[in-house]
Amino acid sequence: MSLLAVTDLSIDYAQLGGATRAVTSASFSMGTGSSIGLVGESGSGKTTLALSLLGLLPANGRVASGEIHYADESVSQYSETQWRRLRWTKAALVFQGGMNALNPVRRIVDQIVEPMLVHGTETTKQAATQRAIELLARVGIPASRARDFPHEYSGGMRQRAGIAMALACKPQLLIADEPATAIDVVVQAQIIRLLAELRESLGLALLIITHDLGVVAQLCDDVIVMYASEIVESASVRGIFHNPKHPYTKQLLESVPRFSGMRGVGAGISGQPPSLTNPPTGCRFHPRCPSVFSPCATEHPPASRLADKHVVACHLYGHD
Amino acid sequence: MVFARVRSSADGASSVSAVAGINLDILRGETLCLVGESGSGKTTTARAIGRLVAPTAGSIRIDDIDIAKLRGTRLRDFRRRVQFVFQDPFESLNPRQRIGDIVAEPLVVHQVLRTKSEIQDRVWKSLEECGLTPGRDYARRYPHELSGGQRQRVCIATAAILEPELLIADEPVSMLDVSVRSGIIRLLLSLRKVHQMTLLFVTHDLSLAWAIGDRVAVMYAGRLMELGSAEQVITEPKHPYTSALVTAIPEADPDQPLRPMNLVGEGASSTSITGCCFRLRCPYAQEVCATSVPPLADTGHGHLTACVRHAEISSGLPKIVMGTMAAEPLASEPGDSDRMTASDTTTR
Amino acid sequence: MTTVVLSQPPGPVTGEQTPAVERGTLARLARRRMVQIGVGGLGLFVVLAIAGQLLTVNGIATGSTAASIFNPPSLQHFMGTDELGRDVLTELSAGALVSLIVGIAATAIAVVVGTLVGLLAGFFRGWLEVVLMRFTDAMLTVPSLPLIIVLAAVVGQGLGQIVLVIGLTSWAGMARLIRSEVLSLRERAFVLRARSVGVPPLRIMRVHLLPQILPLVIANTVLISAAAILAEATLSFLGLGDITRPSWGLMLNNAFKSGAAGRGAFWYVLPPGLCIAILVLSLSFIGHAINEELSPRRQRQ
Repeated sequence: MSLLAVTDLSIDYAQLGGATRAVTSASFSMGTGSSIGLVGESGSGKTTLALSLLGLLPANGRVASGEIHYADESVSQYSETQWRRLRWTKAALVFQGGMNALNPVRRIVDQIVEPMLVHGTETTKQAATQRAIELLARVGIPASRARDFPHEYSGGMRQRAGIAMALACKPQLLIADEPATAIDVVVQAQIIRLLAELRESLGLALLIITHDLGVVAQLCDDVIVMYASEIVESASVRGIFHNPKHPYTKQLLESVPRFSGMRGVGAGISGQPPSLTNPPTGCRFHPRCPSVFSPCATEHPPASRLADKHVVACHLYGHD
Repeated sequence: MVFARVRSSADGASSVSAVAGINLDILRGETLCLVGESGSGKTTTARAIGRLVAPTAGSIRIDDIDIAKLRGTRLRDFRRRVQFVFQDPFESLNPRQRIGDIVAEPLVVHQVLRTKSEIQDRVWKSLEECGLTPGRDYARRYPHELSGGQRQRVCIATAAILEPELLIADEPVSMLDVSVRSGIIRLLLSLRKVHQMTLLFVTHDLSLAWAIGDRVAVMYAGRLMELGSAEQVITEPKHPYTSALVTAIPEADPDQPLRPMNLVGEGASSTSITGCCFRLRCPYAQEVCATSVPPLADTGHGHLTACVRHAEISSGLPKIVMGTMAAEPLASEPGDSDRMTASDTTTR
Repeated sequence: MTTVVLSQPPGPVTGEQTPAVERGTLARLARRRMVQIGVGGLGLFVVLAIAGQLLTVNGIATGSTAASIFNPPSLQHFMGTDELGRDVLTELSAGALVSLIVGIAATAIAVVVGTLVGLLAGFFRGWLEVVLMRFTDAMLTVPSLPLIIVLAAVVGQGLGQIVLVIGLTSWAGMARLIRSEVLSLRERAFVLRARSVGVPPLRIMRVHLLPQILPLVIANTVLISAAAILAEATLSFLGLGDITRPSWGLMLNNAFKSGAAGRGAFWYVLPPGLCIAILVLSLSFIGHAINEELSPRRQRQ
């Protein structure tokens, strides 16, 4: 039984003059304690996909087809109340930068206590406060700062408090949207280490949404690469980093400067990120792909399984 | 040969100055990376060098002339020699100007070319040089019709069209998608080579500095912490802060384990503290660090560090395991391989 | 499987993005009820002013015999006659012309002065800003109507003088507004980039700042013109206007002095007042609609 299973999920955004498909036929599943990195550039649909897992799509967004299951329970008919409960007790979201999640006029500790009482994780206020302070200590915030207001915290502390709050009702899955982009390099490193440590000690599953391949390499077991609303490749983290198959994944990896390997910058990817309102025909990467050949412009590439976990949607593979 | 000398008093004229104690020479023809976190003063320093902000103390000298004293035609001449590329390509183009007019503006205001057709040809050529082909099509467009990467190319075309001697690029790719970043950086490097420009590249990303920099200058809280060739600074850091920065960067390699972080706290403290501005976060801080502001000390071969304890601690600083250490620049572009190497810059 | 590696296609030009801002704004404006009413009202008076000039059917003075004064509306005089036997409709149309001329001319002066002061003060800062803004504040603090009355008494009562007086007392609000806009604009990256390129200050103001503040200028131009028309009417009513030209204020003045209201000549008392109200309201409608359209709340959508 998997913790989370997404089958053939498509999501549309209603817009003037028709709908835009932000996620196209996405399927994947997560087991307890697993860690998946959802990698893509802006407009790839990775954030939309993550929001849909929590019933947080914006008003003009709609699940067009497909299913989301949490431990074999479908969420397709969920009411807002059920979603709210799910967001605390099953899968919690850690926001970018941390500030959005925190109510600016309430003390940090009270904000963590409230969901515990509402969702019955703790029964007495005393016990809840006790555990909130423990949680804060867990993420590296001393008890003396627990009764502060959000604005008294630094950016890194707010991010930590956001993580503590997400853990209030003992969810099994933490979804982190760009957990480290709005903050500094050193603080980012601390947050990444904190997430890795929490996963280890609490048996948490992590879904990390990011454009930063370094974060994925350090934090995830498996990687899903999205391009223009579609999953183009998924594999174990070693499969992606050591043996990438899709030309987009290959070029993306070459674009990242790193200490190991040669100095200099890779060629990058020519052309511009595609438009979702008017996506390219066939394979959506074909206008930018260095290995483009006859079927790419017209036929949509099917997903082919190359190895146990390694799936790629590219005409270069799986036709023979 | 030194192109520009940046000097400001080491003790900081006032306790709240954004930048103090910068002692930096920019060498002609080099790529110097100015690295720091937000609030480190790297942007302020870069803008001061380009005379977009005036230093309150200290001086910036180019050809031994204090640029703060430039007026009139000499200031115009300076502007022509020093050009900028800014961080945000969505904000740095006037939304009501056509791309052609934007790129032509430097030619017009500096009266480089006078006839319309000469200007037009030059603009088209410059756009195409920056990868916007065909230039005449792009020249007709408005900024909102272009993607972020294309806009940044327009900004670069505008900065390069005057063939400046110094190009200051302030985080030119941090707002762009990963897949278009390399293209922009390669463009900057090839223009630098073609027009023999000096490049001052401001970034928060030490791995990018490693990829492109001849020399790297690390700033913290408005001060210069370490300066040296990219190899020196990144593989043999002498300052605990540089070492922490190197350690902090998540390497895009799943076989490299997370490196332990030994830095406490975050961000540069805004209140002034005595002695070393980094000592409150530094795992190696001792009483000696609080006594005075550490001067930039030469540890040999042009490798400078502002740590009084560097001799004792630098051998014990955490270092990363490098893969291929060859300073092989710019994979797969043979024309760039004669780029200045680190040893050239250090034997000035 | 053969792999044909094609050469890189040239970077596609993404042309499907948002349409030009101006066009969208104009279309949205045209759909607003307030704008439709305002433009309708304004158009009515433009037509009235032009028509009056083209066909002055009944002449202005018909001789003040007892029989021809204070005639109620009739087929010969659609809106009746005044205390001197003049046709009220003809007077109204001549008044519309004066109101529009004063509105346009005085506004032009106010807008040019206000924009210039605001631009210079906002862009250059320093002592120039201090001097200009203190003067602007002084202009804003002095109650404008008494100032206009005093100035009008000093410079005389010709139409040109009236225009000058109103224009030179109406720019201060505009200057403040433009300055605050320029203060934020000058920190924008494209202005910084222009400075780094070496674009001289005057050109930065002309090429980079002016086009950005133009919508704001337009919105306030309309509002200033409403105020200017009201000011002209007030001056004329107080007898400080150009008494050689029939204007709405002057008509009200005459009606007041001749006791038209007491004699039940509503056709003489009401129309000039209504005309002033409708014209000023029309312009205010348009101005407020433009302002609203340009407010940050709308821009974010």
